[in-house]
Amino acid sequence: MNAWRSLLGTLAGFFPPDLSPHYLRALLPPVAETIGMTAGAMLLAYAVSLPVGLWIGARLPGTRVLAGLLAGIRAVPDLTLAIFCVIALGVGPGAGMLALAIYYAAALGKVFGDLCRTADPAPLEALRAAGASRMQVALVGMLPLKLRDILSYGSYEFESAIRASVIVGAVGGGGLGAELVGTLNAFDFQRTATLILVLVALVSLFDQLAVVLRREPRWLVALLPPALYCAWRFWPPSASLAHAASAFAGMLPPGLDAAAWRRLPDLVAQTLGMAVFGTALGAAAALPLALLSARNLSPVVIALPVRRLLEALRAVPEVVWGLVLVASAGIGPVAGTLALAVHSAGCLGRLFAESVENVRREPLIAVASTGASGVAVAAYATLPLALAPLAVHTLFRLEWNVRQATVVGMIGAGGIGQALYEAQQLFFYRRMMAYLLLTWVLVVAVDRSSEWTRRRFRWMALAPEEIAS
Amino acid sequence: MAPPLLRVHRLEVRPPGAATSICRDVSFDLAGGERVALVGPSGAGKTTLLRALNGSVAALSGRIDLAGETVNPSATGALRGLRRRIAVIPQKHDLVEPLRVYHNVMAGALGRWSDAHALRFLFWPLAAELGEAQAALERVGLGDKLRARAGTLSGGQQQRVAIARALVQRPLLLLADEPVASLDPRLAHQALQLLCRLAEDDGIAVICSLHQPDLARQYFPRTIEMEAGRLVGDRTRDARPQTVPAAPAMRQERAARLA
Repeated sequence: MNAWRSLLGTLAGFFPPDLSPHYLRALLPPVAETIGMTAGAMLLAYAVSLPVGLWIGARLPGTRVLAGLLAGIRAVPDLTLAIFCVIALGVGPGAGMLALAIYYAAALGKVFGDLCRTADPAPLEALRAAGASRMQVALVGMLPLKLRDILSYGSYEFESAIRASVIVGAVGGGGLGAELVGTLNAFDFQRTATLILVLVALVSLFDQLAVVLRREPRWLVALLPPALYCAWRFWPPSASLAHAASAFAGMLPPGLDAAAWRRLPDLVAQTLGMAVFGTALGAAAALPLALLSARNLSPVVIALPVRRLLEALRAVPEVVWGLVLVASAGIGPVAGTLALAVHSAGCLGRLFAESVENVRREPLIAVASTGASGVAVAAYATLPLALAPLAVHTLFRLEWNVRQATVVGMIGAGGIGQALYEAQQLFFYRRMMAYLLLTWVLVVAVDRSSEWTRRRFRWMALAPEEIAS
Repeated sequence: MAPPLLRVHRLEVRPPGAATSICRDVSFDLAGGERVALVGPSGAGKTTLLRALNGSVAALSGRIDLAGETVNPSATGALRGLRRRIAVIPQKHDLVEPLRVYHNVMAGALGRWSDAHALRFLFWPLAAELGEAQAALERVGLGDKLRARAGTLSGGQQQRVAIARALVQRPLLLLADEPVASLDPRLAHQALQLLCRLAEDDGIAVICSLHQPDLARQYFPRTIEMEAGRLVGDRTRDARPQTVPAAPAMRQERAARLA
């Protein structure tokens, strides 16, 4: 009871947000830094992932190794990668930018590779028949054929990158994230609220930008010079790159002492528990919200406000919910679980609603024509037909939440993430490296078992754009 | 003389979004238990007429009376009451494939069940209810499929599950929209034979749209012909006895057995 009262009391402290012109003006530099970091990182990511994607698409020698490497990098949570870069390169936007660049190069590399493999085989066959090498087929065949797709799929990652850049900033990567942590540490919650609003606005701005770019991918060229400037501006000095090499050497070989080994099962259980309960709570909340917002089940007056609510829930990333909840509900896995649940409810709510809207109409009509009520049609036709896509979305969200459980752990929600963060703060880099490897193993293990489950029940794969969201 | 089961009077139907009326000035009566084939080229308005009869589309003008009550799709409660008494067998087998066969069969009872009853049956079916589903399945020759997943059945089997669902509904009138369009000729005969025999046993009136006139003549005592949205023919064949003939394949089998 008291805990709830203190939670509500602290949450009330976030209102009203500090919207004074003075503070908003002071936010311009961190906002510019966040946008700059993101732009530079995406440029670097494109520059690396385009040739890598083509290489994989063309199945040139070493494709398997390269694809494995990309999968390995994608299994490292973005915030973990950022901590790594901050240690190696020192606090500042340079570290944040590189962390984002590495993460999105791996993500885009895989998408581009998959896209290149879907290229129309006939023209490629013609090129091969004319004696072109595999490299030439990739450059003059696949690239022109798939350029439009590559550019438009790449823009899907924009919105997600700006969110990630705030997260990365929170551990020392500069920009809005650093500002956010600063306000929370100073108990200046009204300004935290301002920053969350700014973030939501920024994410929706980039979302709009991505929509425009998907329609007119040529406009990306106009973004090239400013992005190049940002990459140059935030590029870490060569001295710190040398420092990075020696810092990295200091993390090897990874090792844990006996006490840390004994704590390990608890840490793993905490992280997995946050992921599982966060996903379950999120899915449980998402289902009714999805039914209320589905166009084919719910009247517009209800569906529209529920849609807006879902958008607001998912516009704020898990870490930011985590920061707010750790500040108000206290340190521990409960705050982490709630943070994952709130964001998952927003994401799953929209995906569930789409699944419910996309079920085949004929069985629905057949059940309705027996004189069944609306509830009975939903229970006997709509939901059973939507069950498989719902399960797939939930499993994908679970995979994602295992990564995010380590991330919210770092800001005080416990589990492996917190242990990793503490090791870094105490300069126990070999221990930190061990936790990093364990996180990676955990993520890969959950991904594999989720994939096995999906195959076991023959739940079909989803379209890439559904996964991307 | 008793009033007819169904009276359609000067019906005009224009589905939402259509520029012109699909059915014009359609009038006919149907007695209880009567079986009618609705024939005509595709686009003649057969499907639209059937949809108007179960209240899926509203009539622009004219009226439809079923058992003395006027069909009014705008009143939801009345519409559910009407649909409970009219069963529909659609063109494509459109079962809810992830559910079990007994769920699909007993979906026919949803119109008379409360929501709480429907939800309970979904997870906890009682023996009596399963018995009813089993009886209906035995009548369509699928007695061994009670607990199968609907998605694992063949097209012809799914069609028969749809017929079992219609039987469970205990309707006064059965509407079938091209029920044999997706079946090969032998299965088509079997399906129509089954449909007509069961309807005759239960005293259910049938309106069945078909595009093969020979099938219509063979299985239906009365044929209504549509063209460009109008009724152009209404023939009742009295000369021959109005019983259901055996399907040709079965006749051959019987002949083979006798020989």
